[in-house]
Amino acid sequence: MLRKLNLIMLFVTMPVAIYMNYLYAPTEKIMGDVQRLFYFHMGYVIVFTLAFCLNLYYSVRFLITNNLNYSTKAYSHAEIGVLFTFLTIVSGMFWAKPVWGTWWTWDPQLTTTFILLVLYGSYLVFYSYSIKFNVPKYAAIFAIISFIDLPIVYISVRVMRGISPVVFGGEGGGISPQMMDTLLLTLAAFFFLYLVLVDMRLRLDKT
Amino acid sequence: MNLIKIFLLKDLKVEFKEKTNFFYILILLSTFTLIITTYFKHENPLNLYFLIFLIIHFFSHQRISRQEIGTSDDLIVFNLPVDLSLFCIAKILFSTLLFFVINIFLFLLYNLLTQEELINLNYGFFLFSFIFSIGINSILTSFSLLLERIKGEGHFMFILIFPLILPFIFLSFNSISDLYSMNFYKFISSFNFQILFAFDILLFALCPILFSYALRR
Repeated sequence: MLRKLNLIMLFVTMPVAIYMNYLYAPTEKIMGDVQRLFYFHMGYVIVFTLAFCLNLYYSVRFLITNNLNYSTKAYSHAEIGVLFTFLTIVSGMFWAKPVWGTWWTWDPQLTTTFILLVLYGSYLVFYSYSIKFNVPKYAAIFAIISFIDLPIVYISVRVMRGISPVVFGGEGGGISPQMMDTLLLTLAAFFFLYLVLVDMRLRLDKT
Repeated sequence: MNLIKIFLLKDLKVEFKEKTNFFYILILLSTFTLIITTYFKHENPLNLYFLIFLIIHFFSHQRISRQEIGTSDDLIVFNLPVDLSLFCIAKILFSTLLFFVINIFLFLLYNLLTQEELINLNYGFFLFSFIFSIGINSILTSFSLLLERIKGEGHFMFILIFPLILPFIFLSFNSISDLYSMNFYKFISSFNFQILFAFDILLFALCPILFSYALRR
């Protein structure tokens, strides 16, 4: 029932989000159309944040209860998290080229996001080895320590000297109401996409 | 507290008696220092200095853990009815002490090989070395002890945990740049050092707890 509901919500929200992204949201004055990448970029960010938070949650539960199901769930969330971290970096690069004039720069936020990708990429390999050698708890420890990087990604844009823009700053934010509507709907669409993907991944494990 | 002291003293006694870890690290230290001081130059010599320190950490942690190996191909202490987090804390402290001594040797060797006094001994330098050692030792010691249980493949899995210390390394290298340009009081109140210190406390608290959870049967 919940699965169908998620699918329905995804098929409703995603086309509307795409429509709003290209036709409803106004064109940004300075960056132009390239700013539209921002909505999907934020969608990817919200998905990987959610995925790594749940990976942490299931890893902790696995360490406490020793129930292998939690370990499998933690891995599934991390896998989706890695995919969306990669997409975040790629979409960020497509935005950076016209705006900053370069595909990549070692800005603190970009660097910490890249480290996050490497960390959870290693976690995926580490997990498969830990299962092979019958020590899945080690992977859970790996995941818990990896999570420390996630808050650093968020803090880095505010407290370290870099060129990444702070969109939701303490000084009122920098986007118009139509942009905000588009952003919120895109985030909702990506939330449902995430639920559907996790569900598919977990079903794949059961087969 | 008593148990930590017992474990730590046991490690120190074994080390004083055999000196295998110390000489193992010393050989690594001298070779890498020689190579790096001969062929690499950097505007901030402390970066190269801590690069050597980092390499030594990577290479020697599994060696230090192996000191504990018992007769049954497993660490004896894993089968003792004690809180394993205390064992892990003792081992982290032992590694930190060992690397602190190694750091002094590295300092002497580095200055000797470069023929100049590139690095000044000051409170900031020692404080940073100590903080750096505790953080990196917390992760590497915990994992190297855990991976001792998986014999041959443990080495490969140990390489996989290197990304775990990447955030710590980035914060450390940012802090080193401050060390070069600031006096002691400015250094300890700098943002990079404070973040590094917070990260350090977090790792030192987290790793032993996770270690005991991982080995709980």
